[in-house]
Amino acid sequence: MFTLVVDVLIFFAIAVAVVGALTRYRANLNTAFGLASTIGFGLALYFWWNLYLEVQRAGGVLVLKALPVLASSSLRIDMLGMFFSLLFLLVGFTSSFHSMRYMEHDSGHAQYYALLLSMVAGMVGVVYAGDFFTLFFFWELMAITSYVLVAFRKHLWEPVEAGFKYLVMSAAGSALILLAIALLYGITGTTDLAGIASAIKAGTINAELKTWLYFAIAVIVTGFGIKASIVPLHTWLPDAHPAAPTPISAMLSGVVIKTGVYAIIRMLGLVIYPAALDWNMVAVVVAFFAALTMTVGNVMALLQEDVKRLLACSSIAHIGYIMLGVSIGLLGGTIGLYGYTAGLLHTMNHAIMKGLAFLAVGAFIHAAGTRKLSELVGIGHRMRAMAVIFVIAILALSGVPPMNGFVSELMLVLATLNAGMGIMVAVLLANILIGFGYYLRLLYIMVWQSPRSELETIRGTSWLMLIPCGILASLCILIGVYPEPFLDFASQAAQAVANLPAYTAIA
Amino acid sequence: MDVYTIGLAGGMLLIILGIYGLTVKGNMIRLILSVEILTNGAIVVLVTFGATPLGVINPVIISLAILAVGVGGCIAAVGLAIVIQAFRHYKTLNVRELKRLRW
Amino acid sequence: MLPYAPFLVWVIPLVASALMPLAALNSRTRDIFPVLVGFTTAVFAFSMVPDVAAGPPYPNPQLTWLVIPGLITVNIGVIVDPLSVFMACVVAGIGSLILLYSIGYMAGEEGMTRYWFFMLLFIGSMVGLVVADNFLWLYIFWEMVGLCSYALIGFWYKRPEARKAGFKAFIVTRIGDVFLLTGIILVYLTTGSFAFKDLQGALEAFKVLPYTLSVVPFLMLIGAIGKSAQLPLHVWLPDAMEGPTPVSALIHAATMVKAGVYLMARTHFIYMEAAPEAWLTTLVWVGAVTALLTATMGLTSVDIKRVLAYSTISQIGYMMMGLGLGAGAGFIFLSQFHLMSHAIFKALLFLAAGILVHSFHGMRDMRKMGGLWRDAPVSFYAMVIGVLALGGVPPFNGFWSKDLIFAAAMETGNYAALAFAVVTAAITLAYGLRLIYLTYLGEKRSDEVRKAVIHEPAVMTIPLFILSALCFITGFTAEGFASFLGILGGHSHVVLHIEPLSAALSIIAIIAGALPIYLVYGRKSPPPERFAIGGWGFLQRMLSEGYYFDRFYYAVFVDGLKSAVQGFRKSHPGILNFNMSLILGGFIVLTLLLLTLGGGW
Repeated sequence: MFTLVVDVLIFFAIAVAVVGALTRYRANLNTAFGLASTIGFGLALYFWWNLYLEVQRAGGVLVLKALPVLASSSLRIDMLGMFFSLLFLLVGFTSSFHSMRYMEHDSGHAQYYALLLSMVAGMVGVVYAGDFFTLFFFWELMAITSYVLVAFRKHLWEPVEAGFKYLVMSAAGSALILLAIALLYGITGTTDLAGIASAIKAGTINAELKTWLYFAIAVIVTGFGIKASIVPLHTWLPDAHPAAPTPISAMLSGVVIKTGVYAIIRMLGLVIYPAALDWNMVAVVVAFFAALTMTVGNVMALLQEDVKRLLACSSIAHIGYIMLGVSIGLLGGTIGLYGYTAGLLHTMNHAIMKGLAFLAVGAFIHAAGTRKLSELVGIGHRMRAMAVIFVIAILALSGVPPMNGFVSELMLVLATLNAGMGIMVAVLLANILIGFGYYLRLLYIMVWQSPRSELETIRGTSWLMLIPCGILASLCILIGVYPEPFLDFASQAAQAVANLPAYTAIA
Repeated sequence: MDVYTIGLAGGMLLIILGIYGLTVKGNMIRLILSVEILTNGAIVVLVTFGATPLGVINPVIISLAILAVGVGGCIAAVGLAIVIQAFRHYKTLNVRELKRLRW
Repeated sequence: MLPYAPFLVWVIPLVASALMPLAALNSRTRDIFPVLVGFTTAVFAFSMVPDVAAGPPYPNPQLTWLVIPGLITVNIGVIVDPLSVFMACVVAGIGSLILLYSIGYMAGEEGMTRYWFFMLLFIGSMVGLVVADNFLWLYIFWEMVGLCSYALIGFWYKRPEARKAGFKAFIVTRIGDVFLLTGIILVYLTTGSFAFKDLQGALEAFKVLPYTLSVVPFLMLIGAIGKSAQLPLHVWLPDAMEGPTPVSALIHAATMVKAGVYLMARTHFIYMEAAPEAWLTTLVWVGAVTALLTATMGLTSVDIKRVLAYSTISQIGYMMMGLGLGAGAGFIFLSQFHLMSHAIFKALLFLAAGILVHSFHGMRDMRKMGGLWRDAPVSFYAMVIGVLALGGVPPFNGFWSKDLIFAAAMETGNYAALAFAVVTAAITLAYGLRLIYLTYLGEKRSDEVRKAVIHEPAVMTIPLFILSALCFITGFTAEGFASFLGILGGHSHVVLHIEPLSAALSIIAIIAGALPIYLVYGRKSPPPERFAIGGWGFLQRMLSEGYYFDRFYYAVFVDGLKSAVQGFRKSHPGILNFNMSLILGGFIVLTLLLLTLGGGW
């Protein structure tokens, strides 16, 4: 229906939910549901690969809905969508794998896995959507499932408080997205992304239309920016991400916020980009917000006492780095291509390394039963294998070669220089330095110091947690040492961003 | 005044009302209501635009509007469920009491 | 040269380090395999000597690493020229001797696989660093040697001091690294390439030097200061002595800390083009001040390895000064010659001290030692040779290389720097002799030392013999060395024979350094206790605290930063209405910005 990738996820979500309902949620079927969900993700990855070959060959895939009334509702799959969907599926796969052990003491497993699968289905749908109707549908599928997942442990006060704040802020964002859709429809008379872009390209831009388009850009950046947590729209993130169960935190911090980035790239870079606006100015404005985002994110992370909250704050900072790449992309031409490539490569790297960091921390939290740094002192000594993985993740996040974070941060710096934004380079480097401070603090407390006596009983890590973390950790090193194919993929996706003729030609 | 102006003005009024509620009101139920008002304002704008440029009502826009209404219902349902849980934990509906999470 | 030597010389240890888990299946192969790898690496490194001795053109093979068509291409290139081959030989040669010594020193330790893994990774990365032909790979290897260094400082991670020291090294050197990276990026921005030779070509092509390039020398200098532990980023190196002694000898004395000197020497062509006067002055004075201040710190330290660490910082200061003076005088190989001397005698000193530290199970307090010369004769004689070489006593190599630096200072007429150099030389000999008096002479001052049994197994003494012999030999090779580095070509007026005046200064420094120590520790008049009270006491406390650098950094960068961040925390009250107002404010600001700047009104 929506390509096999999405369908298989939805099928498994429904299947898990139905089986859960049939067993009346009594039996503790965590491992069975987790296995089913992981297999679902595995299958989706396989179908992704088939789809990738198809997209590679034909330049894109168009899937039209069957209902005649909604004929314009469609999926339009290009390289950019393939790029993002791979990240979603990869982190979804590892999180689901990890949950098999992490969620063993919780209840409501059927709901948990069904929601996780639906959330990923929604995210993949968002990046495949070729039409605002489809996009909005999948966007809300992702958003509503994520509200429930954040507040999943409803017997605790924290997820409830965080879930409520997240819900209200994010729902306000959804309303703004709807408003943006209305504005764009009012300007062009269609909801098809390619159609809007073509109409904007064909029409002439008078002063009134210009005002409306700038207003539309502001609404789009705010609406999607809430999900991407651009400062000052970020206040929900440090609450919601730590409050969720840790595999979900890995999803939220690793990939869910990237859907917001995707939407901003797609809207500004493709849909409105043909309009004769002052894009250099827009780029500078976005870069300004990117600088604000990375600085505030890093400063917030500095003194956190909660390990998950610290990682969540660092996600804000990394969104700032990615948005910097996007803002350079808006400059267009070769410079812009460079910026998109750097931003997308950092998106990929951040998804992998932040997902990994959360999953590794999840293993520690699962063993120690606490998230406070002061109570996790020296836990690395008790769980050696996981400690090695955690060190890899943190080194990658802090941008130390030969890990993947270094490659993309270097690319970002080069792209920024290439675009002639000297001040932004200084901001970026200063931020990388600040970031280094708290990543090291994390390493120092959790891996370096001698373990607390309360942690004496912990012995080793479950294979169910080591395998998914190992997959991501090896990717961290692989991308760092041999970035060529990944960079090539990112650059293909970047080339798809502003390539309107190719996007329109997808059939 | 034509339909266009009335629709836009009404939509914008609803949006402003929603934003006012979200930034000022402290009651959690009122916040959920404000979110709904905000969404409905956007829907009104959407339907207004959908009605006028083509002279006829565009089916895609109407289905999108119906979808948005449904989504609004879902959000309200999930939101109210969370409100109930929050009331159990905090014994209040005042959102200003929900400030244990800072930073 | 052996086939593919420029690549294999660093790939072999890197691959071998990855194979360590396999080699560790058997405890004998676990210890023998890395040593064999070390010597193989040395053979590859030395096999490149004849090729470069023949003179230019030097081979410069390339492999492609990272390409976006039309945007960026980065190669893994290696350069085989006298400087890189010389550094590779020092690293691989001394590295293999120290690996051999480690078999004895680390016998019976836990976590040996980890130890060998990081040692081999270090040797591979360090050789990679010196043969890389572009800034990007230099930087990558630069970080990798850093990582190995932190991991090995913290090798005994169960000891809190070791963990703290590793952590401190990580933070402090990283500050320098960010500046280095900034410099590299500016180079790339201006020339569009990371390669050294492209930069050199671009510098020659520029009529007017771009503004960006003129700051590059200073950014890179800060990077070098961090790695080479120069003032004011020197605070990590004394603490790094918490690592095993072979690690201190290899990484924190003989090789890694010289990376800064290497970087300065490798890139001096930028500086000579971009900022000759300012850069040379900065370099000379960073070196001179570091050399003097850290030498005085060495006078009061009671930890045998910390004395050697302060001495390392001080001697690297000498090299920096030598580089600045020598580049001004037209012969930059001065610092490299002292680098080689220092690598040999400092490795010797550390390994000799290691025999004691090993026997006392990590106890390093010299106040408890004394009278050990009968128990550890090899260590004692090695230490004496090392201290004499360090103190610049003829005919050991330190005398020759220091003498050249004095001569260069006179040549350039920089008499202030000369004064610093001479005073430092005197203090250097003084703390060296103090170390010998306190540890080997007199009588044993604690039961711990009286009861200890001192072993000097062959694997540990053979490297000592070899290094002692090298201390004699290399001093007389200045002539050959100069022609090997090929830098003397156009500057035949530079003298390599001993100038009477600089030799006289050396003799004065020797007497001025040795006499007070002989009086205080040998004749006990005045006795050492005299210096713990009054004005001397204040001075002594200040020196033992290292001029309060650590405390200052902590107050500013840890406590100051903490309170600033706490202040910022007030901006997030965690109330939902406030969050929504932020969103509204952000939206309004964004709209106004776009409409105003875009002229949309």
